[in-house]
Amino acid sequence: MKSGIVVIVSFCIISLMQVSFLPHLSIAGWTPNIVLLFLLIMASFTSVKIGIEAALTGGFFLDLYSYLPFGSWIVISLVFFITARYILRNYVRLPQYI
Amino acid sequence: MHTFFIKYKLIVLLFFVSAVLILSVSSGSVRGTFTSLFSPMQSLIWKSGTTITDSFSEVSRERVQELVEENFALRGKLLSFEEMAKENERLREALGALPKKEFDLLFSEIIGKEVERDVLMLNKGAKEGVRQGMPVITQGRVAVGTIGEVFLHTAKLHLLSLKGGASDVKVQGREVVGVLRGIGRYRALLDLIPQEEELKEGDVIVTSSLGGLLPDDLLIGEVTSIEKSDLTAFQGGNVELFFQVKKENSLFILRN
Repeated sequence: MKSGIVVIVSFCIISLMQVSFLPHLSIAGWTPNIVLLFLLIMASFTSVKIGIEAALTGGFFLDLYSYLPFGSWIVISLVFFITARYILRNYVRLPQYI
Repeated sequence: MHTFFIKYKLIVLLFFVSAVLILSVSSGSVRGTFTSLFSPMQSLIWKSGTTITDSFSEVSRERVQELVEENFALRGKLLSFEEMAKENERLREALGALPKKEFDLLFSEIIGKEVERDVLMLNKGAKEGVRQGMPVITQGRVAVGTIGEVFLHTAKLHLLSLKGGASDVKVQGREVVGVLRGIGRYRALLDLIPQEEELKEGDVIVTSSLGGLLPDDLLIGEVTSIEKSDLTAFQGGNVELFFQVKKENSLFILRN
């Protein structure tokens, strides 16, 4: 429960940074999507439950600042997280130093 | 809880789909409510972004000297224009003509940018008298775009560089009329300038009231390259827009 709240608040802040801060750091008009970047990191280090919570929160906030039909970014984030997790679990071996 | 999700996968899926559908139907009000809720925080984040961008942008000594000289030249021109404006006013009075209407400006702050398109979010909405199609300018009278979707306390601003957008423009100093087409990522193209008209790199592009979208003579940008071909009836080129998202915190909405 506690971790869920932390994830929701964190992704709320990340999404607000995406729409209000990242446009200042754009290169040739192209802005990186840090919500998807954080989801990619979460896909390799956290559980499915926390990842899905993060994808739902991030997707919801991106949907607020999008012209696409509501729910598009929620679906994109979920599919991205699940695909990234599947690829990382099955085809990528992360180096372990411990 | 976990077993509930496994057991009732279909119900959970249906609940999720219906929630998304409900949100889609009322997406306007959901977007409006949430953006106005977060707008004070977003305004602060946007300002901090502008401050950071300003602190990292470097201007060379030569450029500073160039700008100082340009400033002196412009001050001289400004004086003569002020004299002309006074003279103009006196003539209007003598002829009994109505004074030129000033803009009714509404101050607004930028709170964010759409994820995919060249669309900014402003912290003023229908409650403050903002309507769709209203032009938006900077403090320096540079045209930025027009108001798109309007919510109760926030509104979307379609930039001139918005992909698919087009507005009537003219070359400053000459009555050469063309069309400015947005191509996204803060870039725009000048188009439909007749071949017989002279178009040079460095020409300043201003707004034209022909299309009824924007008022006359607001600065837009500078022609950086020209595309001319004998096979086409028109010429065009790339335009570097004067409005830079990274450097602006606030804008003005023209209400009249």
